[in-house]
Amino acid sequence: MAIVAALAGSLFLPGQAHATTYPELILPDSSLHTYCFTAGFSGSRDPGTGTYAMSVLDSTTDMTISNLGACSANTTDIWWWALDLAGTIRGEEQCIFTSGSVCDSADVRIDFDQIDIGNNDVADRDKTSVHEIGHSIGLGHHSPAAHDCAMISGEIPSLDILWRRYNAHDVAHINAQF
Amino acid sequence: MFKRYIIATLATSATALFALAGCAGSQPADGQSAGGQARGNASSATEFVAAASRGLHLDYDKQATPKAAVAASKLIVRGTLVDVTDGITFGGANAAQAGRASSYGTAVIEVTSAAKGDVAPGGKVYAIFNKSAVTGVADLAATGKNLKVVAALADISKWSPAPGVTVVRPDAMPATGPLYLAFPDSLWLQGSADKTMAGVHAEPADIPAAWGTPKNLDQYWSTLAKAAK
Repeated sequence: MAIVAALAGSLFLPGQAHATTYPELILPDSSLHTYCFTAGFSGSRDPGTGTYAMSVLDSTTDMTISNLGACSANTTDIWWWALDLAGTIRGEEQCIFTSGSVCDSADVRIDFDQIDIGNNDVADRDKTSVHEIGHSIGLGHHSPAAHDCAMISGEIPSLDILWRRYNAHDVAHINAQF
Repeated sequence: MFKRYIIATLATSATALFALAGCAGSQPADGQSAGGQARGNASSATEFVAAASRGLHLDYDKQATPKAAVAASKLIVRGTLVDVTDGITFGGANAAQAGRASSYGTAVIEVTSAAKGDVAPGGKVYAIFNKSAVTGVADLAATGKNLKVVAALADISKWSPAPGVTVVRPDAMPATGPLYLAFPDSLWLQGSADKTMAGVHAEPADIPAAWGTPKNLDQYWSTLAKAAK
C-alpha cells in the first residue's frame, strides 16, 4: 500500500493537467526496444545522439534496449537515419510497419543541419533524439502549458537536463504500459 | 504471487490516477472522430487530421512570427481541399538512403485568394505535406475533400534528402515549376462544422504568441494577409 501511495504522489506534479493523452494510437510490441543505425546515421556528425537517446530510455524507464547493429530487418523497432528533412523539420518518428495498433518498426529521422541552427547544438540533438524515441513509445507532444521535458517541440530553452529527459509523469505512464 | 498482486494493484491505481490527471488510457478507435462523424464526411477536419498523422510525429522549428512565415513562403493561399493524391517519392542511385517509405501526400487546393504569389482564383495549387506512411491517400481524400484550407508554402524544387537521391514528382502534379511544401505549422484546415481550425502537425495552441491567438481560418488568414502586405 505504501508503494501505491508513493506512486500516486509521483503522478501529481505541477502542470500535469495539460499533458497529452497517453498512449497515442500506435505503441511498440513489447518492453524491449530494439534499434539499429543505418549507414548514413553511423557516418553522420553525431551518431552518439542515437546511443544517448536509447540509453536514456533504458536507464530512466522499465523498458530495455538492444542494439542490433546494421539495419536489415523490418522487425527492428527503430531504424535511425540522418537526412535533410524538408522545410523546418528537426526530426521525425514515422511508423513504417504496423500490426493493428502495434508498430512493428519505425524510422527515426534526424536533420542535424536544422537542429544545429541556434544554440546548444549537442544538447539540442540529444533532446530531439530523446523526443523522437518518446514518440515511438507512445508519448505525444506537450504543449507549453504542460510539464517541462524532452517532448516539447523545437529548440531546447536551456542546457537543463530536464529537456533531455522524460517527465516523471510520462515515465509512470510508460512503466504502467510496459 | 505477492509481487504479481502488487503490480496489478499498481497498474489499476495508475490507470485511475491518470484519468484524474487528465490523461485517458486510450483514444477512440482509428477512423472515428470524437463526434462520431461518419467516415468520408468532410464537414470536420478531425478525421482527416487523425488519419494523416497516424504513427507520424514531427519535431520542427515553428514559424515564430507572421512576417517570418511570409518571408519563408513562396506562396500563401486560401481555398478548398479538392483532392489528396500521391506525394513525392525518391529515385537516384541512393534512393534507399531516403528512408523506408514515402511519407508525403499532395494536397490539391482550389484557390480562392492568394496573399503571396501569383495564383488566380479558381486555380489549383499542388502542395506536398508530411503524412502517415500507414494511411493511404485515398483515405485522406475521402476524409479531407471540401475542407477549407489556408496554406503557406515553400518552394523546395532544389531539395534532396541525401546525396545521390532525387525527388520524383507524382504523375498528377505538374512536371515543371515550383515544388510546393507545406510547413508542419502552415497547413490549416477547417470544416463547416468546426469552430476552430486544425493542422496535421499543429494545434492552434502551438502557435507562438507573436501571431496573436488565431483560432480559426479567418483569423489565421487575416494575420497572414496583413503580414504579407
